[in-house]
Amino acid sequence: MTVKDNFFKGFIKENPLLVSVLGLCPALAVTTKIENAIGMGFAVLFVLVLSNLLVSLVTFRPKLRELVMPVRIPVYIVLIASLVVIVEMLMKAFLPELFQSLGLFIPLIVVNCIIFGRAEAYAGDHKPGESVIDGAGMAIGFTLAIILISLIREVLGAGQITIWKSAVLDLSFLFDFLGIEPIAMFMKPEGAFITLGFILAAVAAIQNRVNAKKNAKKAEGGAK
Amino acid sequence: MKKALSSAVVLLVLGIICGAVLALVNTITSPVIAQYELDKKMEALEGFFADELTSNQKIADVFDVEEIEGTGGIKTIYLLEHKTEQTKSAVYSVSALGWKTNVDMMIAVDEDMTLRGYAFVTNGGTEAIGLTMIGATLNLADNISIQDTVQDYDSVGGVSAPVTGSGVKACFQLVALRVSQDLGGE
Repeated sequence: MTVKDNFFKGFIKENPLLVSVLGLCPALAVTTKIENAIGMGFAVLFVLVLSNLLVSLVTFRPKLRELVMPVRIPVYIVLIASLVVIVEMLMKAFLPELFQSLGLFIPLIVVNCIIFGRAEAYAGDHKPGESVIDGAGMAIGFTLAIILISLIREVLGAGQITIWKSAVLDLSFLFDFLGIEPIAMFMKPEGAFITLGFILAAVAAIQNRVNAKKNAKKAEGGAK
Repeated sequence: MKKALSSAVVLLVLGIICGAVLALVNTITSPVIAQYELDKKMEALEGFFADELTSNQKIADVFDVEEIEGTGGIKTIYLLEHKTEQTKSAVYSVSALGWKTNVDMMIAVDEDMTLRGYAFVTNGGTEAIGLTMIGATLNLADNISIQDTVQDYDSVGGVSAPVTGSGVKACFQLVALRVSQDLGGE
C-alpha cells in the first residue's frame, strides 16, 4: 500500500465512523455544533496519532515485541489513557469552554473503539511511520464524518453554523424565506440517529454503486 | 516465569514513564486551570456586588476575599470584607436535591442578615417542568432577611414542581442556619 493510499483510506474507503461504524458515542453526542466536532476531532487526532506511534514503537523491535505481546492490552491501555489525560488537562487549561461543552466525551476517548482498534489491528504490526500516517488518516476521516453530521444537525436544528466560538454563520434568513422554524428535533438524540442513519445509507449506496461498476469492469475484462 | 516477569517489568517501566509525563503536563496546566477557576468564581461574585464596583474594578480590588470549604449542602463559603468600609458579606455556594437532580445556587448575605442576592448556577432540578433555572427569579421582597426567605418566596416551578421548590427552599434553609456562624449575627 502506498503512503497516499494508507493516508486516504480512512477518509471514505475505511472511514472508522461511516464504514466501520466505530466511535458512535461521541459522534452522536457531541455533534450539535461544528465547533464541538472540530474540538473532538483534534482530540482524537492527537490521541490516535500518538497512540499509533507509541504502540508501534513498543512492538516494532522483535525483542521488545516478544516482551510486550503477552501484556499488550494493559500496555495499550496505559499508553492510550495517558494520552487522553494529557489531552484532557491541556483542553481544560487552554480551551475551557470547549472542554465543558464536550464534557464526559473527552475522558471517554480512552474507550473509543477507533483508538484501540487501530492499535490492535494496525499499529501493532506496522512500522512507526506507517502507523502515524494510518492514525492521521483515520482521525481526519473521523473528524470529517462528525463535522458532516454536525453540519446537517446544526443547520436543520438551529439554523446556524458555529465554526469556532463567536464565528457563527446565521442562516435564519433561509428559514424566514421558507417560512418555517428550525427543526429542533435535530439537536436532540433522535435527530443524531436519523442524521447518521441517512449518511450511512448514502455511503453504503455509493459504495455499492462503485463496487458494481468495478465488478462490471472485471467481468468485461474477463470476457475479453 | 522469567519471561512473564520481564513483561511485567516492561509494563511497570511504561507506567512509570507515563506517570512522569503526566506529572510534567500537570505542572504546566494546573496553575492555568486554577487561575481560570478562580477567575470564574470572582466573576460570579462580582454579579452580587456590581453596585460597589466601578466598570474596571475587580472584586479583589474592593474586597478581601476568603474562601472556606463548606459542609453538607454548602459547598463553599466566600467571606468578603470591604477594604475601606470594613463591612462584611458572605456568599454561599449551596446545593440541595430538587427534581431528581440538585438545585445549585449562589446566595449572598450581608452583615445585617439581609439577602443581597441569589443566582442559580446550573439548570439542575428542572426536568419535570422544562424550565431553565439559570436566570430564574423568585418573588422575594426587597431587603428581606435571610431567615424570612425560607417562608417568603414563589418557588421556581410553582405548585407543578414541589420537589424543585423544596430544593430551592432547602438551599435558603442551609444558608439561614449557617450565616450567623460566618457573619456573627445581628
